[in-house]
Amino acid sequence: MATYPVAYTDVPLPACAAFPNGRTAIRPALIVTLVNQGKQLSCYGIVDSGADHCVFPRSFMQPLGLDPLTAPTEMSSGLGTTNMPTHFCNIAIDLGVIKIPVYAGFTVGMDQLGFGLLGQAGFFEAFRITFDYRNKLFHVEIP
Amino acid sequence: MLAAPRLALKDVSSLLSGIPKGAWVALSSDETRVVAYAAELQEVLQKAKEAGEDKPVILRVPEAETTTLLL
Repeated sequence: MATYPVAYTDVPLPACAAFPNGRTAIRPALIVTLVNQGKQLSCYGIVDSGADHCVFPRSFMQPLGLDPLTAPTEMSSGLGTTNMPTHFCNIAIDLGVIKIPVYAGFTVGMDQLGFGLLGQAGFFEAFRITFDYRNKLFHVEIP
Repeated sequence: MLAAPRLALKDVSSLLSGIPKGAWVALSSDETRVVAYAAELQEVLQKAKEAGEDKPVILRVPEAETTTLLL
């Protein structure tokens, strides 16, 4: 068993009406590599305990050799989006130190963001995650 | 602290400052430079490959001014 402390990622945000001085958001993110039958794509994944599944932009399906027309589909919802078709496929997620099998969703709703969400099924069930926001750290414990 | 290079993340916002909103971006695998950017993901992957970057990190510059994430 190994525990990896990971620093939250600083994301400077511009000034806006609600935050006239701008601000820096800190986000628990990892670089993950999605793998399917020899094809791979690396991206950012935000560790999101509020997500039921791991989900990624639908655009990632083609370079990974995944077919949205044959993948099982579920309608999913998030903030600002409802009933978005989400195509599920068995892939692997490689963290560099370990690779895990994940039944991951791919949806157009994530294309605007360009990164993935590492959610409960697949990610949190594989690792123990502890958040330490005050110290800008989260820990990934690999059993 | 255990070494785990792929878990380390960097603030790449300065690298993205000149890139058009909505563009897909390929960063070098060590996140130190922009390898390519384009409007379409396939194009940026192709450009990264041509630039010799086999394992780019892919991200997208937000198109809207929305900055707060409520996921």
